[in-house]
Amino acid sequence: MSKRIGKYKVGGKEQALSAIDGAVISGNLSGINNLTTTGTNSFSGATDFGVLQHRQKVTQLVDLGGSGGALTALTQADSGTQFLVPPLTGGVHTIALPAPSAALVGWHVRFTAVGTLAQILKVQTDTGATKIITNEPDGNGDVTVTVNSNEFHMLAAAEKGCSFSITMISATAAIAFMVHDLTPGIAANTDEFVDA
Amino acid sequence: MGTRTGKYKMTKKEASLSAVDGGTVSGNLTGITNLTTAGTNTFSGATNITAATSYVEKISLLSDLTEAGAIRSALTIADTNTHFIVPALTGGTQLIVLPASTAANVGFTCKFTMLGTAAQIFSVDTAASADKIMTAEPDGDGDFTINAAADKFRFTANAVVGASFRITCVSATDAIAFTISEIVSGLAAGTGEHVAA
Repeated sequence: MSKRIGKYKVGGKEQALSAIDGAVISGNLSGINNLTTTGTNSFSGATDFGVLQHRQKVTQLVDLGGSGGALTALTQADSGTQFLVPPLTGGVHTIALPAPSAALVGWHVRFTAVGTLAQILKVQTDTGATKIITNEPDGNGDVTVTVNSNEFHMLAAAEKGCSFSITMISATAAIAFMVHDLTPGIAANTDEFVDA
Repeated sequence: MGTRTGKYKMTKKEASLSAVDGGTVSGNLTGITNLTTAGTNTFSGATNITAATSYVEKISLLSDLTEAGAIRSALTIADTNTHFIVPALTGGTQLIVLPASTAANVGFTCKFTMLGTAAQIFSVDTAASADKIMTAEPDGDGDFTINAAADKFRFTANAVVGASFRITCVSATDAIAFTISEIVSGLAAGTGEHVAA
């Protein structure tokens, strides 16, 4: 059945040749000037954006209540996300990091408390062999450093504004993750973070 | 009148069907291998990149107003991810206003870095007093002064080259709208350059 593209009635062959009407285009696109999309964009190859402006992805975690438990494990799709941690009830909440792999090196997320946690939030590696390089401020200008942690915790005392980032820096399990950019929520700058 | 695509003379109908000559393509693009563009690209949907990504920060050098007041127009979502460089200031407190804490602005982030000794206060202000910033000011001895409900975050007049901080809109809820991170001191003492108000 014929259809129209613009004001022109086109046959099946013309429709198949045209990319104007939403056809699938394969191969390379070059010489494009401006590109505007409104749907979901996926780039699975190396991507050079030149000057890049973007908003951070922000996701609110949910208090599980009950006796706490495991939040949905993190995946590649969460990279770049800032997770807001609400006050927690019921018990320890855990969230699992993705397994280290070459494809995920550079993966990173940030956690920010938006109230007094009241319960511990544990960020955990996938297995005992996967390690986190951590530092915990002692409140006197120095830090406690552990280079082979399996977990990094926001403690129950953590206050609104308390935050940290964690980045997968290697596919080698022993140096897979690093904690950095810690911001305190309490003036003493201690007792809000601990490794395990 | 006909146009040419390469060496071929095209009718208006053929030209309207072709995307090779600059036509507007609608629908989905799938199966693309290499994509090269030279103009402005706008992706208003979710964008997922699962491979290495390279880009440079957008840098914006602010200009001294030479008097008290707004150093530039209020920030908008178009300024997200910009790294603002603050020069030495003269004439009084100079300010910049954040975007409102709306759902559309959640994820807005920008960074400020001193290029010289501030000499005047440089103030980053929320758009409305109900919008709050969760702040931490290093005290230089390992602890911080916390203000989790600030309306402004500032470089003091003492701030020197290299002092910096990042501010991010993390929520459309006014009370937890913005957070400060990546605080860097330019002074050896590690204090006296950042203050909340």
